[in-house]
Amino acid sequence: MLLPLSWLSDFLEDLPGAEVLSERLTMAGLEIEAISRPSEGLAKNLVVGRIAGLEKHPNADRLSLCRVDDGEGVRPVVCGARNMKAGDCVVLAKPGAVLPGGVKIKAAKLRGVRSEGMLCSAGELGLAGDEEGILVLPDDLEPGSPAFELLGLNETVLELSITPNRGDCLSIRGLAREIAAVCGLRLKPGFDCEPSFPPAEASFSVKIEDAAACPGYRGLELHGVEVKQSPLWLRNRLSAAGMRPINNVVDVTNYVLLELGQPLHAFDAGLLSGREISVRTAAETQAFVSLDESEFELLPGDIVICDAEGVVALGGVMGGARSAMNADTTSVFLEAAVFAPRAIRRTSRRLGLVTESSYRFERGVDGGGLDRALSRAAELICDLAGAEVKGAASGILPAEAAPSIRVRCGRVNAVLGIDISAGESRDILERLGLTVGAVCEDGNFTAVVPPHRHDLQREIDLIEEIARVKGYDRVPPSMPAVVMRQNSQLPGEGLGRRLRERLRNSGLHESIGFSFCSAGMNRLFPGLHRSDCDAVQLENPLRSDESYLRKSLLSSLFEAFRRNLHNGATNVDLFSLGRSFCGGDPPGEIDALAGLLWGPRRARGPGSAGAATFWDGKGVLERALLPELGAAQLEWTVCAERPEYHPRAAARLSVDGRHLGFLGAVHPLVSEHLEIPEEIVVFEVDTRVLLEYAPLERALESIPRFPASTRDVSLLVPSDMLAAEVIGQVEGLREELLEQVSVFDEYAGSGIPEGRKALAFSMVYRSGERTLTDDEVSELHGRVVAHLLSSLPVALRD
Amino acid sequence: MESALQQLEDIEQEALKGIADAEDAESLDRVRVEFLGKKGRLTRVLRGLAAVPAQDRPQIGQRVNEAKERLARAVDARKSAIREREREARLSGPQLDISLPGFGQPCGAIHVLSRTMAEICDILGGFGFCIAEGPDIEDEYHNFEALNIPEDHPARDMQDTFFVHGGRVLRTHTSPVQIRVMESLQPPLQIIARGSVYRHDDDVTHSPMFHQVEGLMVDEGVTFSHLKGVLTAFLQRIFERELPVRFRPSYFPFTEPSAEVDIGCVMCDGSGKADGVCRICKGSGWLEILGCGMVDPAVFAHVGYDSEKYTGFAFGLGVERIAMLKHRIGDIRLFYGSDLRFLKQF
Repeated sequence: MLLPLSWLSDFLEDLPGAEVLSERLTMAGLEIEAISRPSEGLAKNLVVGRIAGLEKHPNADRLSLCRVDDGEGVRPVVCGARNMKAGDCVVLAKPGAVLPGGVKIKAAKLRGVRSEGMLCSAGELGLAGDEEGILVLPDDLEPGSPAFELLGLNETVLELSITPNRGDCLSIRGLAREIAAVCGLRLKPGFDCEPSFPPAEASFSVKIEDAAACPGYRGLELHGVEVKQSPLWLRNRLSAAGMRPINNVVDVTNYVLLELGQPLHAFDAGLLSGREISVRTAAETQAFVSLDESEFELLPGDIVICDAEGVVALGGVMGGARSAMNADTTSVFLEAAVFAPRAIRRTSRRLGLVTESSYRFERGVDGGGLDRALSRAAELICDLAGAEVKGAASGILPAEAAPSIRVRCGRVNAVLGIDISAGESRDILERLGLTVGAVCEDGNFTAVVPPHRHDLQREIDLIEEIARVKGYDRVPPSMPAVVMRQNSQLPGEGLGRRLRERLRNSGLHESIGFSFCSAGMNRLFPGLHRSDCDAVQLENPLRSDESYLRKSLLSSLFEAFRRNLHNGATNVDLFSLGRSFCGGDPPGEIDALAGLLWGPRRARGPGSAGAATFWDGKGVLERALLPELGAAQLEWTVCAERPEYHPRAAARLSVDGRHLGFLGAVHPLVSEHLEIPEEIVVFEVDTRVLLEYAPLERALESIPRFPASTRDVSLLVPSDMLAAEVIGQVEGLREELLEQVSVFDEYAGSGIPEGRKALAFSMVYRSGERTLTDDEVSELHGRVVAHLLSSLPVALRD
Repeated sequence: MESALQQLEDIEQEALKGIADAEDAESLDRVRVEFLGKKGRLTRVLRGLAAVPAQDRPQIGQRVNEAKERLARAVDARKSAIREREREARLSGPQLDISLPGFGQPCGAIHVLSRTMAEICDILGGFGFCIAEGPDIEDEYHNFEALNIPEDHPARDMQDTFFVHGGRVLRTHTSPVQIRVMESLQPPLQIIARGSVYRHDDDVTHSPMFHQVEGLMVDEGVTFSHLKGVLTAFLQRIFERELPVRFRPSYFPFTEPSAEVDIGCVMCDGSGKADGVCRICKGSGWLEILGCGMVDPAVFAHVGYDSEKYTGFAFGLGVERIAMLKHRIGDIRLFYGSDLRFLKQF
């Protein structure tokens, strides 16, 4: 809401400066978002000019060369607009003027012709209005007279952010009333005077068919209207408040809307059919053409205003084309009504039609102001358009009784934590226009709410008003007494922090991506569990490629990967902890961990240095997950059936037989589809499973007293045999003195027969009671190797 | 006997020369073994005592032992000298280039939002708040109705909503978690709900997804004064300075009285001036940081709490907002771009 201070001072005495006012209003809950001050650069060098002559620019088709009388002489001005003619009064910015946008006007040659100034459009002066061309002023002005004040450019305007509960502050008068109360200012005499409603016979009858939809309707019929441009003072005020001037009648309805907060609508009375206005809700689906010639489909429940022929206006939202004001209008039917906020909001939302009128009705318009608004509008239209009042219309329903609220002084202090007396509370509410009773012995009193404060209905609403006006800064801060209990944190909190630490230590960077993704990404990455589940779809996505919720965190990680690739990254190691979603009722939400590794790295195990491998990912996951699993172990099984993973280089992870997630190289089709390199390793894990395990509380294992002996063996095995099979065989022997068996090399290539690969194992032998002799160890190792050779299709590598 | 002594003398002289000539530990050890070893020449002299008349044996034996001791000392001295020389040689080698980079795999990074979220939760955890969570996909009852935001109410404009097929919404705030907690627990309670929230909004200062931490304390005797105390202490801790905090009236459907909280601008220290008008606070000296208020009795009614007996306060803050101010991040979209050049900085 824009509040021009000159307009505000029509209602208030002794207005303080903009800074002071702004500070006080902000601290009373009327937040000032901006103060727009007069543009000093225009104060001196802006004058009324009269176009003495006009010709085409000799060197440019689209420019005109004007000779402009500035009161002291005639100067040449080159102008690009085409809407002026000789004799027009226009706004001349002389050299030295600085426009609100910061442009400084200088005398200059334009296409070889000297130009000494600029003719201004409304927009260039910072005024509302989007008409093409320059601003043409009434032609009775004196050339050379200062235009700064004439155009209202000396106005200071506050921009307020009005919260949705304060519909009563959406007008200049309403703000004046509020400001008077919270700043302790005096309202000007006459603020509360009831206007005299113009005496007129009822010329239209009003039939309200749905009283809940429209509790009050008043109309006035005006004849002899001459539709023309409004005078400057009116145009200036509308502009300052952010509205575009149109014509005198429409401008008056907007002026009254801004000043009093009561929306009005002006019909061309000559275009209304019959002498009865009916207000009802649409009974069936029907078409409606609004006054700006847009077509809408009305549904049952929309409030409509009808004449004998049908709908003439969408009540509280917008008038219709059939009865719209036009240049030939000579008689006007002026409507002031109150409509049900919720119905207006429903209609306005559905049609995407938010108007100054619907905005106010949604937030509640005080039904007591119909006559004030109509008489103010009639007075102005009669004055500005030469009209006179010919008739009236009325359909007022009895107002609801104002609520009376009991205020308990003890409760006020119990909620706020201060010590405010009943008397002070009572005074504050009285200042706000409530009718308050005397304070009883128990410190309580009653307060009756004025009609414009429909937001005040309960004691707590009044407690807020008391705190607000007294000032929140008057409430001293204090710490509550809390029970120092064992801080039972969410289990996922600690898990998330530990996983982040370990993944960070493994060199991965945490990425946080949006939960949204495209249908295509959901097809590529179907998620951890039910790959057949539906994706959750948004009804109103911001972008078509963000119209689903991701089924897998991998969708987000691949987006992140692509962006980094685009930025020239040569190594991308990312992880993400977040939620993935699948359809259902209720929809499923999975807390998951995912990671992506790509780019060259040093060899840290089997495999050569270079691209990220499955084992890089395996190491990352083991370091991250094993500490969470207590005594349980990660189980790895070959996984060849997931569409996003390489069928020969992926594993399913589980723990105690329960599915945990996947790790693997990305399927080449994914890389092809996303147009990204191959050799990407990714993983995805359901972290909820981890919550069922407690991190191992370690007990010390005794440190061996006797030395170990290590023996290696290198085997030729079939290429698709897993090292785990060999290890399983060795462990199956349950040799008491065999402490550990591990694989330390994998090799295939030159020197190794086709279809085979070499695996090298290291066995550690140790006794807890003595030092083993060389012979003992050799004999034992021989037995182990012999067992392998006899039980598996393997051979010793020489 | 004379000849034996003479022989001893010769051996000792020879050994001393050998010791003196030894240039490294290895050759010194060879000399030691040759003369002092188990089969060394001095030992052999001792063994040869059998051929010496019995009355001379003690004297020669004594002389042999004396020679052995002298030679052992000489070996030790030479050993020290050699070690010292070698050490000197090692110490006078070329200067190491200490400016070459360290080895090892570089660390990754934890997202600045996760770190900020953890900091917030830690501070509030210290005040006795426990963390709670709820679903991202909410029903309208928990996201709106139960929070006193009825359908067709303009307050819904404050939160542009994403709708999900099937009649649910993406939660527009973490407040529905409050409702879920209050539905299952009785006062006193002190919780923080944290997580992702969604608004149908996208520009330099608004992201369609962002993160909130919401606090709720309900007990007998909880007041607006407590709300001010807790939030002032929290804000001064999270920004690690005694910055000014102001509460100004505002409106939220689920709290009353409601307040917006401003802190003194962290860029210009509240002066409004930094290289001209402060860009961050636009010259006002204040920054809006969070919204809060006393829980509206209508909310208590939805969860069956007696609002005459219990009062409570609630607050909600944007994690991005705090991270942006703490780390001077000017564009909210950087958080979600996953640009490694951004991620690596934290």
